[in-house]
Amino acid sequence: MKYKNPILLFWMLAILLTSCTKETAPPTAPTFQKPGVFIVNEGNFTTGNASLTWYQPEKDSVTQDAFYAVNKVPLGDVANYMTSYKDKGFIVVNNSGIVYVINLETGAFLGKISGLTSPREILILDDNHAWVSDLYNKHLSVVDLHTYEVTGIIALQGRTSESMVRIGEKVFINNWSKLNQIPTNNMVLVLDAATGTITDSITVSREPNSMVVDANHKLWVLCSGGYDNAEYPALYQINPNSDSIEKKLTFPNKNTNPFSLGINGAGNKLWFLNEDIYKMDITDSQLPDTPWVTSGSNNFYSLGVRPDQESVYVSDALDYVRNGNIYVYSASGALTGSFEAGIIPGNFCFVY
Amino acid sequence: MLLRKHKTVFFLSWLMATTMIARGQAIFDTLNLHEFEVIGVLDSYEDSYKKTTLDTLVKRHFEHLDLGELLSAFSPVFVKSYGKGSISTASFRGTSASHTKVLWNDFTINSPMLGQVDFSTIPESFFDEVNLLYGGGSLYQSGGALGGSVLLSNSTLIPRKSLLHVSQSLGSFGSFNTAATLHLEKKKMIAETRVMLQSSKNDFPYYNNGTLPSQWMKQQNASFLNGGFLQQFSWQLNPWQHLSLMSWNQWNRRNIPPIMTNVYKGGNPEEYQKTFFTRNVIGWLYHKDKTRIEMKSAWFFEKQHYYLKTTTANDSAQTVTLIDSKNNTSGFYTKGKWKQQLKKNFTLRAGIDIDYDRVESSNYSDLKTRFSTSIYTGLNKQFLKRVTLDLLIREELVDGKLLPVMPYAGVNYKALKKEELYFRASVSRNYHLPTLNDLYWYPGGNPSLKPEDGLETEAGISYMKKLTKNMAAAIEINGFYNKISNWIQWKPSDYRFWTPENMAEVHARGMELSASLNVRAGLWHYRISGFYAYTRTTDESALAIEKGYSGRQLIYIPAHHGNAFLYMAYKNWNFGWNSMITGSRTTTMNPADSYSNTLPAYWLNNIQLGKKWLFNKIDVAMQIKINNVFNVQYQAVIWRAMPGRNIEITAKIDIL
Repeated sequence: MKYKNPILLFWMLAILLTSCTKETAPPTAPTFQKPGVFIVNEGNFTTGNASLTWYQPEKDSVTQDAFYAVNKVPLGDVANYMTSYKDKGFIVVNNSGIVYVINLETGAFLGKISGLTSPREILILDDNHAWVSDLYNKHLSVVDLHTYEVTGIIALQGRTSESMVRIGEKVFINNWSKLNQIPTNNMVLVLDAATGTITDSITVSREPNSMVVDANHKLWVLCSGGYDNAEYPALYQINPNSDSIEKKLTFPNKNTNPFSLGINGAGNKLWFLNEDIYKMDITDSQLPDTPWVTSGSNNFYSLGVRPDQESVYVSDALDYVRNGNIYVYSASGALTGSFEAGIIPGNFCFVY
Repeated sequence: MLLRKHKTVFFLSWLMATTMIARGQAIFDTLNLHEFEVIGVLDSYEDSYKKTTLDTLVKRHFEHLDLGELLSAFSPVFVKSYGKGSISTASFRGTSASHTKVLWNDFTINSPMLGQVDFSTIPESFFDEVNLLYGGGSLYQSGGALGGSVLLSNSTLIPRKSLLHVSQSLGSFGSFNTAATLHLEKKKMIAETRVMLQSSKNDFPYYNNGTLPSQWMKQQNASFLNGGFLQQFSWQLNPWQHLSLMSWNQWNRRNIPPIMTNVYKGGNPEEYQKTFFTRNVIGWLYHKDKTRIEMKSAWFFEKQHYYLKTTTANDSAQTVTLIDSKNNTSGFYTKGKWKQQLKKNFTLRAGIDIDYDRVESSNYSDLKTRFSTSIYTGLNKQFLKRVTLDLLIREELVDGKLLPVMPYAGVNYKALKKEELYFRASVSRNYHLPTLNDLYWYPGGNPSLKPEDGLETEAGISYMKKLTKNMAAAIEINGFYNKISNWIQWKPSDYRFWTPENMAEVHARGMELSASLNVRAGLWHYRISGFYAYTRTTDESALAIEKGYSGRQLIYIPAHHGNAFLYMAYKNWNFGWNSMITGSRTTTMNPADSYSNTLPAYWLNNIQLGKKWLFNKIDVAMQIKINNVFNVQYQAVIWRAMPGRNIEITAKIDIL
């Protein structure tokens, strides 16, 4: 049986080959001690590589893949938004159609809201209820926070929804996407927080993409003017009592695309991205001409302001396929730190 | 020559089985070699480039595989599969899927839109022979195959194996597979009809660790139904002239399952793809003395329909999203080939390919076409009976624009007079045109893209040895270094749609090793063979160096992959063991391996046991096959579920 040896050799070679491949060790479970910030990395559409990065500025420590490290599953497909409520974190994973609920301190899975079509953001109304906006559905989903079940819907007059901002008993909802609707996407809807009925609507410029509330309880709405640059971009100040526009600041260049409006904890200064970073005072009567920080070769993608300090976090999505970077700027605009996050860092959730 | 007796057929197929590398045939008796050559399609085998022929033993035993499964098990080509019945693409030597050209009877079947071929839609039973051309050698068949080419052929002179061959299999997860071939002959005419029908519920269980809570689940919405027929006629007009007509028609319908992270998505997603294609070739062959002339024309038509619908969670009549995308492509192709042996050691060849593609797509702004003409000429000269020189030059005119010249130069050296030891080396330049999607996709298509420019070098050694009267071995090792500039990549633009650019300069280098051993000992036959490929593919463009990601392996290209095949036969029993190893792959271009984005290596094993009964006019065979014997849970593409252990039982009948 002379020929046996070469056969054996072959199988040994095959087995050797398997042992050549190295495995990447899973990270050890981190904990999430305040203060810190969760960075929601969108990941690439239909790839399921969204992730959560945890950053503690005081220690300058970064935990990548924080959700995976604790729960041993990926965050999902296109994570869009995260918010905290008491001791819980809610992470909206758009193309997975779910909202994960985690323990804010341990990151451990507590439950999930599933069966959503294309969820964008979640607004926690109280201990019992939350609303979830949707990129494609023309209604909000009403969620029972004890069972995490969708218990009802709120129709939005044939419009899709993006951000939800609550001021007193009113909730303001911007209609950002034109993708799946007939009406022009230039509206902020006003809903009664208790009943969910639409009480008013405010026409703004096309593609309102972000909203914040200032120290005087005024609503600020930033509109890009449309992906096709149909209108001039504009920033609006709205009186939430009368639902009327008090100020409209129009951008001079139709071909720009301002987005990602942020505000400091004191509620008196605004930041937004328009290729570069811009900063203005809520009392300013015109838009800033010059950038606060220029982008250089960075691809600025999202902005967040730490509420308890005036530090501004801006993400650089690079080429959208590699891990992006986060740059941290002080109140004076000086770069005080930078670190790597995940693929397309798109949203910040500060925990303090 | 017609072979009627099954015993002869059996012996012949065993003989063919022992020639994994086409060149290996040289070591067998000249008498049998002659019979083998009847089936062979490629006309020269002492080449300067690397070529592999998938052998008939494999083809016979793996009749129900699709071409992707076949290549991943029996070649060094890397196959990326999204799951059984889902898209599968193949790449040679660390290049991309669109750098692999698939030619059916000399005509490229790559989609003019996407530039690639879905290997899962190519049933193995529809072809007589599968050949692989690596790197520069592909220029002999077409331009643009920067990685290599897969050549599928239906031999027009194939001897009758049986009047009727029917094969039926039943498998796990509601899988059915039927294949049949009817072979009729009358005087100088042959008519062959092949039909295929495959369907599967494909609802296999898998462990979903892509969402919480992690648990065993059944694959959803992954069923498929494919059916088709291939009709072939050939006429022997006289001993040196031959006419043939072939028509391949197929209907595929597949549902598209969600990725593992998206199984809880609402809106009752309904997602499927339907494809119909018809591919028709008419050919004339003249082969007399030292002249061979071939003229062929083809008409291809393909209709593709992608559909995605979601509804509101509470009202299934209310549509939320609807994508209803339809693409029609048609192609008219003509080619002429001429080959002339001038002297005993000197052969000239020349040819012309005229291709016209036409695409109507809801994703393009209007009708898009491409017209290209390619001419080539080459020579093959042998010196001192030991050195063979191959020169080829190809020139392509595309929509009125001339591409730079594509030259190929290669040399083959038989090192020892009495041993089958060959050294070879080649260098070539090749251009890959942007696909019509690259140019015209709306939105994002970039009409100003340049062709990808490949400079390819390779060298190899092969050695065949007849160890004893009943034992033969072959080993082959190859190294290659390919530099592809203007490599096209899609990247998101400012307005969130993606757009392609000539961005990268990709260096793909590595080595391939293949070996086989064939033994006949009394009533026992053994066969063992294997492939191993090491590939390192990185982007070395100025941009990559500046941004610090040069030197990183491109996504979905394993550094190591290989396979091995053990075959044993005793009388009418046979046993096969097929083993495949795929090394770890990154799925993003990140510097540090992120745990959740790195796909670990996996090792798959399939075994099968078969028995054959030979009656007077009928052969009957039964086969049981266990796939993924060790029930490995793995992913070939991130968060795409793959089946664990599964069983397939096949019955085959041959009426002689």
